[in-house]
Amino acid sequence: MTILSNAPVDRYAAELQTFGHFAGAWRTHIRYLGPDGSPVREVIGDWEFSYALDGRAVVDTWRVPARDIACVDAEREVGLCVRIWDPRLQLWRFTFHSTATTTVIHMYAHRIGPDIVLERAEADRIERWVFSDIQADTFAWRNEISRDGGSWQTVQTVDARRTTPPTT
Amino acid sequence: MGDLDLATGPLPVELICAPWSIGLRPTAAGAEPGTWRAPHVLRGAGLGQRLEAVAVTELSRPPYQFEAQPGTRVRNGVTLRQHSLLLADAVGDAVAAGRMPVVVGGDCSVLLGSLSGARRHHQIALVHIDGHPDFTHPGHPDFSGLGAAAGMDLALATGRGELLLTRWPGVDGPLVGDPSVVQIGDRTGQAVPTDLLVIGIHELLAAGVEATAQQAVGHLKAEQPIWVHVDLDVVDMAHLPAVDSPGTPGVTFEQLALLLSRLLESRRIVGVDVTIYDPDLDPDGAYTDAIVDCLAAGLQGRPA
Repeated sequence: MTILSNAPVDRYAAELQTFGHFAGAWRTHIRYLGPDGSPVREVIGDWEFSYALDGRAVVDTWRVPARDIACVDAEREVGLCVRIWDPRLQLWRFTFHSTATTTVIHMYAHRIGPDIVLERAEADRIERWVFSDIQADTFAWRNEISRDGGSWQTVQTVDARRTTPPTT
Repeated sequence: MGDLDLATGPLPVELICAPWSIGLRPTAAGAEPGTWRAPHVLRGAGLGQRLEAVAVTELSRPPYQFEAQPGTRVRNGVTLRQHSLLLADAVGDAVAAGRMPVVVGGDCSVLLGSLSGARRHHQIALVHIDGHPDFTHPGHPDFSGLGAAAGMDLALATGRGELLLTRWPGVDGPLVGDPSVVQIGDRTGQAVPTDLLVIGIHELLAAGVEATAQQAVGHLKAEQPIWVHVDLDVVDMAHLPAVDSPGTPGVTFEQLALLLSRLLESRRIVGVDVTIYDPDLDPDGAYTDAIVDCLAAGLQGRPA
């Protein structure tokens, strides 16, 4: 299998490390939140990251629920994330390909302080996916939306814990 | 950040041509607006010579797309980011070489690349001379559909909007903070944050250009380097109708030249961008000489 790589390409190694840090496998505790911010659904998932494409990208697979949790196949999400550093834009281009809904989501990612913020703008809202509290073996992630660009509502959270050592 | 040292006299000018219309909506006829032609037309009318430009940089014309680009609700948003970074390189290089960049647009979205380049050297303030505050952003009543960056440039520069156009390499936070902005010439009365000083067109005309320039410079932090944005639609439509959104009341060319020259006398101006003249709305070139005369008088003290 030559799609995956063990390390980033030299030319953009520093930039690729932004997401390359997550290389390996993670167990995720996912909470979907209601309008009042309380969880309406909780599920355990898997999230695996790797360098790919001769070290020029990071790809990851998002599984909900986790592979070892029984689930009707039609209700299982196995999504592919592709993250590519764009030197002309000085940011990451991100796409998420859902096999459950067959939708493709495009976002742009920036390093902002210690966090990584992915953002896309839709007709009626701006959506951000934020990696925060990033440690060697844990991180937090949240999905938040804003309809006015000023106030943000968190609609989903993830607490992730590494289950395998980093691959690099 | 470098110290601003204009003690030895005015900086030599570098003309940077930004031939783009990507920040504007299509014309009523569904075509790309003609502001991209302005740099070439104004150079043909002698702008470079009249400004005594010691260098000229010509940037490439960005492709204008009519359909939305993925992940952004700003028309040509991805293209705008890419070309803004190229413009920032040119502005940054000019400042590093000890020259004053005069960016000739193109539409008002050139402000983002201009400020981004200047920010590589200075914590800058902004004097935004424009008949409109260009403050549309998500949540604003006027924001809908596919946004035009030329109506959003001041909002984006102050950090309001998509990260694609508010977050720039090497800049922590917005390109310019609200307290470091003076907007001069607004004729719309649109509400903007109170930390941002607006000297509307009625106030400017009542107080006069000299007092307005003094008020603007005095409002900003002492010794802070200043970037000046000029949208030529601040000129009354009776004198210049060949712009995207002409209006009245407005200044005369002479008043605009005097305002620019008084701002330059502060010895704090590090660069200027001039935007929105549309040669497609001026097929006979009736207004090019007046524009060139105004800029020469304002930026070099050399009227026709």
